[in-house]
Amino acid sequence: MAENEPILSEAQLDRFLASLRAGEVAPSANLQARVMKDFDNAWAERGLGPFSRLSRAIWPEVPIWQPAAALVASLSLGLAVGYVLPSMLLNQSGDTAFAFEVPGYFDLAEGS
Amino acid sequence: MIDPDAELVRRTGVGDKAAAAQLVARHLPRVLTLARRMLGDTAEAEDVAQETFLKVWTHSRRWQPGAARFETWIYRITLNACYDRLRKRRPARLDDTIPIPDPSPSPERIAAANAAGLAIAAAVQALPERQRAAVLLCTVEGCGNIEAAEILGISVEALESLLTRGRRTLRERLKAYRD
Repeated sequence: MAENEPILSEAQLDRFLASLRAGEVAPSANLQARVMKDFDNAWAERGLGPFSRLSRAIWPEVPIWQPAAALVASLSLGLAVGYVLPSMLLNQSGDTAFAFEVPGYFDLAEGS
Repeated sequence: MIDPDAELVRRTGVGDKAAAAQLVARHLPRVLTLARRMLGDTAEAEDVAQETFLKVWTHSRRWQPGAARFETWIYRITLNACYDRLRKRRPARLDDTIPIPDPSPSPERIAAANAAGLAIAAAVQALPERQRAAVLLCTVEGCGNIEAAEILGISVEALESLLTRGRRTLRERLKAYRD
């Protein structure tokens, strides 16, 4: 019965484990290249300013002009809307006045 | 404590690619091997090795020589990455999923088929992750107890306890292969 057998000796276990030492895995050329490419990228990233780093974090793996252009476009749109919308609302003030003339209560008996 | 890698890490921190390449040549095989033994999967081990070195590149500028040896630090990063991956795996008992060769054949046949080699690798793989790391670091990677405890972030007493339990489990599982 396997359960009743004495267990392996410490010395033999050490011999078994020592046999594992020989099996070191050799890294592939592809892995080495990936690791060194990461070094280049990490180093290139260190030279970036705070805006570039932020844009990389929000919008990774694109040229820097894309997040910059998106930021400029959204700023322009925001400014344009902020400039045009108040004057449009002022021009329409006559049309919108009726909204304030609606009575603040309803008479349920009125329609019956 | 003299760290043979301290100068290379310092140079890597200032962008010296030749120093980085030397660190890779010196440590990538061992990092990859440790990850392979922890995870039992070459592709995942490669990802862990890449992740480990990416952390080295990112933090090398802030690395303080004297606090810990570079080798201790890189092993700790590797093991933490391995633990993360092991936690993300489907929660299954490794003992049930990793086939251990049938211990019933005769010793002669086992020796002829080199089954003991496979059995020891499978038995180590089947250990709980902390015990596996302790056994691999101390017995296979050749770390001293103090260094291994430092890598694992535990006391030497806790490491010894992990080693004792791990070795006891291995001796039990491999009893069919005794002389």
